[in-house]
Amino acid sequence: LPNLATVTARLRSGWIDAWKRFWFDAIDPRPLGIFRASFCLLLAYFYLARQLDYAFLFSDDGWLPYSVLDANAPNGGILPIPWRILLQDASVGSFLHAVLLLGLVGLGLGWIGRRWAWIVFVLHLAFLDRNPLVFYGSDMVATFWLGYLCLTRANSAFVWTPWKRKDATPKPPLADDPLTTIGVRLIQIQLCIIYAYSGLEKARGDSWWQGAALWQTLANGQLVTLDFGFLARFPSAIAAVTIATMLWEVYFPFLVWNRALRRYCLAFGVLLHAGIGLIVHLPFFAAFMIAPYLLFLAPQTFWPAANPDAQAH
Amino acid sequence: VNTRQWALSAVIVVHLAAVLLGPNPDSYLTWASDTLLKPYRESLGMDGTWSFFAPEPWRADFYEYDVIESSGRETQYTFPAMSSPYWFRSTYNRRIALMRAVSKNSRAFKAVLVPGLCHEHPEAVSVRVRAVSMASPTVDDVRQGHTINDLTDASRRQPENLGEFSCPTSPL
Repeated sequence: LPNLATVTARLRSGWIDAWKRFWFDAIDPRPLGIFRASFCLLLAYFYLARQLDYAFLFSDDGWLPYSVLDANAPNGGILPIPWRILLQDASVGSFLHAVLLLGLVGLGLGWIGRRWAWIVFVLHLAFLDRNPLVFYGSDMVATFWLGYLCLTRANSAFVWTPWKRKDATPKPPLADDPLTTIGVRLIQIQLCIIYAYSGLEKARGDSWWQGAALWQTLANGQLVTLDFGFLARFPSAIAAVTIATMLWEVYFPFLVWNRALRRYCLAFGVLLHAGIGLIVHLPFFAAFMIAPYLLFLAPQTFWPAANPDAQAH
Repeated sequence: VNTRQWALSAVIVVHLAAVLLGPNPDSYLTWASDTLLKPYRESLGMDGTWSFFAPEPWRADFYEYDVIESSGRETQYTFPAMSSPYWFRSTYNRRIALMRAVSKNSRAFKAVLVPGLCHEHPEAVSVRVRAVSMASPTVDDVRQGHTINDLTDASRRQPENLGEFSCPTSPL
């Protein structure tokens, strides 16, 4: 039998080293930079609609006056820290929403780093807390991505500074910062959690097993405005896509970490989200779900000369 | 692994436990760990569940209401509107989210929906509200000539009368 010292040594060289590599090794910051830019700029555009709808959503002249919220959720709404108090005055709130938008643009363009990102995140939470009745899946996903971006030096790459002359000296290829790696890993794992739960919840529904759920969605006039009646001629195809969607979500956490299957797994996800996003009018949700796929792709996919040690995979 | 990495590892484990257990509020593990993890999740706004289009896809749900004026005239509306009148679709989606949130919470219905409807119609002295749920047509229905996506199809409507409410809030 191996003695305790041998077992400990094996553990140390195996699991502990793997844990250390996974969470703390340096990564190539460029996929993170593209993710940051695409996600934050899209989120800014998404919340531009909210700015234009500010009176309805957040003002005392809207559907949830501050006094009504306070009377019905006196303990700070959904958050133990009542960030919504920042928005008690509607004109201050409207100004802070504009600050949030500018902050997201600043993050997207790489002009501000993680310290300022925390302020953007707190503002984001404040608006979720101010009217928890009107946020939905896109806001929930955005909360996670924004929160995790606060950990990272996401502006180490793809910073838009047109006023600066291009530097001929290449930047260091690795983001040797443990929090950056942790932030990227948490986004990857969170995506797996979202899919796994979503798939398992679907597996509780009869219509998903029967293969009818996709049809029921396509036939919901509140969500879908195009006429997909012609698909009634292909019930088997609809059932196959329905069941494939459920299984893909359940098994995403296993498929995406397998190097051989990863690209097919992600390609299916892109097709699925693009289809749902356009048909069900949830393009931002689709984009927020697809954007972190970039963090699963090897940097060599985009830059053949990338450092092979800088794998975030 | 140095001391800093051990400390970070401990935080990572706690965070992973929080986000793994949070979406399953009925489990014993979530219940047992809620004292520690729920405030943590809530502080970060990460206390959601993940059940998109699950366990069953949404039906087309809306509130249908009659605005009753002092002259006795009645006009029928829906909330949200039957189709998006907005440039940004997300503006419409937020109203659907509001309607769904209110429909699960009778307190919010009285505190938010009824005053909101009255606010939208200053001419109203009361509103009569029905919750309407529309079943989607089946594949066979459509093959037999039913129209898909038709929110006015009376055969698929399941209305529930919720009562008449004087503006702003009190039930008549």
